[in-house]
Amino acid sequence: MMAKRSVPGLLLAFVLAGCSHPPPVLSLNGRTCDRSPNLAKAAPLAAPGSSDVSQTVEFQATGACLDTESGPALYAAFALPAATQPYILEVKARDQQAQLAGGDGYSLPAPHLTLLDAAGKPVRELRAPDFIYRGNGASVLVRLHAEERFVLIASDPTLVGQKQSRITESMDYHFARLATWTTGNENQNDYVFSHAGTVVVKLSTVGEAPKS
Amino acid sequence: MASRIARLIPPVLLAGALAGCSGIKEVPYDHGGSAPVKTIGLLPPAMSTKRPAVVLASTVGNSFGLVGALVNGAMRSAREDRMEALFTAQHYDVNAEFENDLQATLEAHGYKVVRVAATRQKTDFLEQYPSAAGTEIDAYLDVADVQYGFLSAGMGSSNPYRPTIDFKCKLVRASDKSLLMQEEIAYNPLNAKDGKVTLPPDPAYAFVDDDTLNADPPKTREAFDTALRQSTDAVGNLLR
Repeated sequence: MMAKRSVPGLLLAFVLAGCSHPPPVLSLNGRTCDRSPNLAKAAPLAAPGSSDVSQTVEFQATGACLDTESGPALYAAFALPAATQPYILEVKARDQQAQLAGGDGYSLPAPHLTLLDAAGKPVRELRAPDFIYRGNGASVLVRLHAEERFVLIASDPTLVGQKQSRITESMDYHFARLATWTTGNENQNDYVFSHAGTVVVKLSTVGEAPKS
Repeated sequence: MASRIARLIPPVLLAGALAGCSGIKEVPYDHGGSAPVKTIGLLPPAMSTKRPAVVLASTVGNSFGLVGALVNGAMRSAREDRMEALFTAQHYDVNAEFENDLQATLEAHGYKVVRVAATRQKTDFLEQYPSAAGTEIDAYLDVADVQYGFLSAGMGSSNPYRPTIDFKCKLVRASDKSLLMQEEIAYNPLNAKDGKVTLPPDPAYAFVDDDTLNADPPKTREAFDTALRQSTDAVGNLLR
């Protein structure tokens, strides 16, 4: 009987849970993290050919973490292919809807990218100012140099928790049986940098061919 | 079915025009490359827009097929007549300001800039670049498909007009014409496209309707000038 009574409540809780978005991950305190990146476990990225090569990484609060000078950071490492021709590496931190302190908004993985040589020595570092907003997230594009054999993508503890606000304009199309119409909206969206989130890593060749 | 497709055409065309449909591949500049660029030959930007567009993206008229589109077109034309007159009265030459701002941002990033004359047949990138023989030019900056004006996403005071600018740019090495950088930049676009450098509008400038947009010409000019400078600064930042 009790179980029957609780069914509507459970359903309601289920529906509400489905409607709410996760909050940004602002702290990794209490985690035991690697002291240096484990490059032996770096996922290999294939050399791009006529089409791009991409991998999506979900940074989660319980994922691999690294002790940095600024504090613990989530991270992922990739092994880069030998540069037989100039490659472009793009790392994109995707925005996603999130429950912020002041209401609904977006969280964005705080990006910090390090390129390392075959011995694991850092040769180039790119942080937030190098990441540029493109459509639905912040990304950095770099031409890889021959000596760069690993890419380390980590969250930036110095950036986590910082806020941004952006105005966006959108128009939606609506279709009904006998009519079509559009609605336009301006939105002021709040963004908070998070340790967690979705990061897309893409390798492509340098070329002038139009995108398909 | 045919009438359904006909109804779709005006909003689809509108969105395409605003979004800039070129879809080029993004190529980053390699500042630490083997042959550094010191002097840039700045070509005159190729303007797709001959006068400032004033676009109300979503209107009731969009729902009424060809007649609605014609009415919308007439209203848009009237708005653009006013804005063109405002820019003229303010002595605001978008082409000249664009070139000046590009030169300023390149110089701020340490490049020497040489203005290069070029005749454009199209609004796209140049197909052939001038010979750099006998000059100090290391690379040409080609800015094309420039669309600009003011945009409101829809009706009502919650959808104010704000400046919008959209263009693509590329840096081409003068000696062998190799591609050094290629990007698209969109300031306050409608439905931001993945891949394009997307700049949000400055919240300080919002005009609730067409009358407000024309009520204080110096402020309207300042709003657009700020947007233009932020857009050209983005080009400089891509060449850091």
